[in-house]
Amino acid sequence: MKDLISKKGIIVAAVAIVIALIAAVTMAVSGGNADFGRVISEPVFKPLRSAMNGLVGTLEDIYGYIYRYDTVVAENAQLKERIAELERDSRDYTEIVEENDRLRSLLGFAMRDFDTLPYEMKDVTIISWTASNFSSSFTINRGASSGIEVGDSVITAEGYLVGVVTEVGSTSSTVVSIIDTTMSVGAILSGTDETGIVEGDFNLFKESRLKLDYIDNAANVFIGDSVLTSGRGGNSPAGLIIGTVESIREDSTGHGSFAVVKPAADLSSVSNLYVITDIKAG
Amino acid sequence: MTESRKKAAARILLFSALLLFSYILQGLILNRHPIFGAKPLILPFIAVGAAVFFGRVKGGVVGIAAGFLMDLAYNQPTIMFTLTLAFIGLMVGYLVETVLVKGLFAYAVSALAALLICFAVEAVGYLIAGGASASAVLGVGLRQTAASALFAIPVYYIVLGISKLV
Repeated sequence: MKDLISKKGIIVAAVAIVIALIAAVTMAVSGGNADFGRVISEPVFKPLRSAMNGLVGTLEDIYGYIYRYDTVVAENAQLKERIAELERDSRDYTEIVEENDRLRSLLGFAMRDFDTLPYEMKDVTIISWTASNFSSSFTINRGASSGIEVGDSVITAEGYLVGVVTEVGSTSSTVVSIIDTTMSVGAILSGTDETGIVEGDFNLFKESRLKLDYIDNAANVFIGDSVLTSGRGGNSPAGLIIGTVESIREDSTGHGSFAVVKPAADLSSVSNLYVITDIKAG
Repeated sequence: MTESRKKAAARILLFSALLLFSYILQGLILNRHPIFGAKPLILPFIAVGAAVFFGRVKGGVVGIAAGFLMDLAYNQPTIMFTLTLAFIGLMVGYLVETVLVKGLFAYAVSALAALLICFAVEAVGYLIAGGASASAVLGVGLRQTAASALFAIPVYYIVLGISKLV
């Protein structure tokens, strides 16, 4: 034991502890801004992450082109059929658009038409995903210099909630995705107006599913119901689409139940996203 | 520059390159292409290898660097793995200097222990505060350990090569 606590060994241990302490203190003092490790590494690692993200994406595309040619041909045939269907459906287009606009205005959001959205948004790109098997988070290519703050919601172009900003550096930020076990957001079921809390659950994590719990009246929850943010509990504004109810399960006590929610956003393929930085005045 | 300084500089350069390559592989490539449904850990093996072949102090120093990179790859503050891998580097180095015989067996045992420690450090929070079931957490841990084990031997021979070069 005497050998273990040699002078150099103590110095190495002390350096590790000092690094951890500085990281903890800078995190606590800055109130969610990136710790010193992120700050000192950002100038080097952000370009590296971006470059690798682009390289891996390109290689995936090449792999897909070479090895998935048959799949692409089959997909092409399906798409041709789909185009024929859409052409038939186009007769109803005007009516659908009008109905859609009316429903969107009723819900208070119009996700496909960004100019009419009541939010100030910044477009962002994912530059890396976490390497952890226990959590789901990713890094985006904008930070405090673009007006991004801790607690901002991150959505897809379709208006699907993807996650919430948890740590902000000067030019990059960390976003915890909706399936992460630390996530919790107030939710409302469209149609029934039942409220509850959608949260990440480790037992559903591998399935990329969420848990809708603390529902006022579970009997009013049905498979296929849309789950939206309620605007209560957390910083996410009301009306963002979280997902749909996939099943109803009994909890571990056997006395209560919760709903399993399939996220609307496909987390395995999201890449270009939007951060809601503010609510438009008026 | 003296011969020993040249060797030290070469060692630092080679380990820096190995750490950076492992960070890219673990944190930027295999995080998108899991093996056995799990994202493997590679950086802990470098701390273990450095400790086995170069002793506790260099093992601890490489452990700090590997832990720092692992925390970055995990999108978390540089605390958990910076401390854990520094501790692993120091302990493995101490055990090789006192109990274990330097070589593949010492490395393999230490690498497995390092994987289990990394798993335990991460899993304990989910078990205690996260409400996760033990079976779900253990399932993830098993897959993670199996996927990571594939990289243990290649890293061993790379670090062995570095130890022979410098």
